[in-house]
Amino acid sequence: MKGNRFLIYTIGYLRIGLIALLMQGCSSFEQDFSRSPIGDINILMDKSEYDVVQLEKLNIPVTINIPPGKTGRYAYRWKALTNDAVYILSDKKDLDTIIDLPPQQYNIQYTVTDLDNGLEFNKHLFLTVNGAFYEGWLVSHNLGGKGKLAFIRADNAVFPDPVGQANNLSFPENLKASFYNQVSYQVKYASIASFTGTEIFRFDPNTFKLTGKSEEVFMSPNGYGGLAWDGGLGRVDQYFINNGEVHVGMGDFYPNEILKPYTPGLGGDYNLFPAVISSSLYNTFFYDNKYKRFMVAPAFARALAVATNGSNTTLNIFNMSNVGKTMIAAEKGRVSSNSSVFYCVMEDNDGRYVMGINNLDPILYQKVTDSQCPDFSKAKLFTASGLFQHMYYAVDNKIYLYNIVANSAELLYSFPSSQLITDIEIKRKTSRTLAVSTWDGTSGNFNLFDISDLGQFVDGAPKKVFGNLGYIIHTSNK
Amino acid sequence: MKTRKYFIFAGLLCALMACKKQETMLFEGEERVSFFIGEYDVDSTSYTFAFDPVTKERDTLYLKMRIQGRKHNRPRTIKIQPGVGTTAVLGQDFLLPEVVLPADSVTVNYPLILINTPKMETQALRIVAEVAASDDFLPGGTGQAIGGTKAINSYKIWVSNKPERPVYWDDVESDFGPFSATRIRFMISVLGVSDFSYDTIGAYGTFTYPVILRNALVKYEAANGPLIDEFGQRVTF
Repeated sequence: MKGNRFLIYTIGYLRIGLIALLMQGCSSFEQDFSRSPIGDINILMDKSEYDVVQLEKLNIPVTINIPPGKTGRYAYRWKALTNDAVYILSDKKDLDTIIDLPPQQYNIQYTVTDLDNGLEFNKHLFLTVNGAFYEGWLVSHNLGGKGKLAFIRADNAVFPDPVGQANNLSFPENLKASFYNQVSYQVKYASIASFTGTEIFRFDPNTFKLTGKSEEVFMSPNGYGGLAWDGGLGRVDQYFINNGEVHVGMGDFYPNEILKPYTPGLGGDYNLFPAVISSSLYNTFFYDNKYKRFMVAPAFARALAVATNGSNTTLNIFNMSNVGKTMIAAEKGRVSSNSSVFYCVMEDNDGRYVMGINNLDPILYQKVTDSQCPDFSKAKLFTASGLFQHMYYAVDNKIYLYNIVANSAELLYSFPSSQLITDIEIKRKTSRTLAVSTWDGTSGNFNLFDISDLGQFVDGAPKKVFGNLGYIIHTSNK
Repeated sequence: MKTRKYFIFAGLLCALMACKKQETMLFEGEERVSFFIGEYDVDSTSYTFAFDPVTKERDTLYLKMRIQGRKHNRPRTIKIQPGVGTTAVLGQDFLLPEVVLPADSVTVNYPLILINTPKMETQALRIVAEVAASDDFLPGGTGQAIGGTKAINSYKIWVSNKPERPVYWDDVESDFGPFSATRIRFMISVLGVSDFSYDTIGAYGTFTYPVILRNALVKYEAANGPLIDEFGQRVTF
């Protein structure tokens, strides 16, 4: 009984002790929910999405509603954000600046900082920058011993000197050529390159900003001449021909290496015609005017071998390893997913020929006579259609259409006799526009002809003429 | 009823007894130090002076070391000594300097200094670097350690001045050809680099360097005739 009472008392004390501990644990927590205004502002803009053409001015006025009683000491910041970059656009209240961002979509963050208390107020919007140089013609022309690169956009807007504008740079001597080079599906690593006799200048194709020169692009070439630049059809390698030698650059398998310097010349006993004959996915052909034969570079290879005809022996129209003729021109025709047709203008003591290659095989061999094709034997300027089996060639002031199937040509257009044609180039993307450059002794014109379904010029005259240019030495598509 | 009270009483006592201060376990023991290597690394390496584009009189090999014990707010000394099996001569062929572990540090790169001596042109010398007791540290425990690393107390280095076939050569043989001392010496003289492993030169190097070498060899042969290696084979790229 006595023990029982002790137990009851002890349990009682323990209960009291626990309750005391609980009460001690439950102390009131003084919280202050009173709120004083911090000066919230309201940012207002006309829209939340904007489009702008690169290098044009973008104006976004901003209305800021400041709470009553605030003096309004604020700092402003406009930022353009992508997944991997941040660009500061302005520190003014309203955005009023030339947009020189690379073409793509951006998130814009507009931040207003209250300088009295450090609070930041943000507004987000979307901006799409469209390239100023999205598509058009690169026109390399020379005047007074100095080269200049003009860009004529697809909508006929003319940029007379985008290189000078972007870099405060002028070419120190005449230009030889300018190319737009892009490994398919690797737009990020595309580039434009301009060559003088002694130097190369590589530019960003979206801004024309200089991205490299000299050995940043090619390893130790000894001057520039006889230029051709193109990727293999399979996108594995890139090829650059200079003074009869071929240099190779990295391709699609190693995208981060695409802009690294090309190899030195591969070396060998040959003198290549300036044409990259990318007729096959994994074999790229070249033509050696020294030994009058085709050479081949398999994908990934860094050496040339003498080409042999493909496995299709029924197509042994000519022997690629022993052609015996001098190449005058090689122009790309139709392109499919795994092969391209190339038309090669060849010459020997008996006259001129047109030879065709598709994939690994010869597909065409025909002699071309001036009786069927006027002035063909004198022509040096050629270009081929990607739609029809047509070639265009120019002699002096005349442009001819050569129908490959019929092996005959017709005169399409004659410029005034004072106008000398200096270059012709078809717009590869559509094969519906022919660019013809002319020179009258003092100034150059750049003429664009529309091409009809028959391959002839629509309305029989240039659709557009751009003047006030120098001697146009080279044109190419971008 | 009574039984229930006993249970409550015992339960409350247990609850009160369970409430005690947690004690933090702290390291107690000697301060130790050891080399440490990655989980898949081996406890030895080889070094040759033969692949340096510019002849070196000495070079430094850094061995990773880590303490076993607490950090201290004072610098502490680490000593390394030649271990059993060392064929190189301390002071002639290599140096094992006493190094100081900075205050509040856990790891240090121990600089083992290799000296290029004539005998290395004909034989590979062995150095066994062994952790020695110092005023501050004893040799550490060995075996699996934190982060999958391994602690070891001796590390072996084979040092020579002979151009030996690098272990990576199998990977690049299709790009540069069969290994020979003559070939790699020519490559080093032309390119100015001595490590041709894919990890170092990348795809770009494997595609581009052979062209540079081929062009350089054309010039060499024009002046000197074919380049013949120590196996009697003509070097080509």
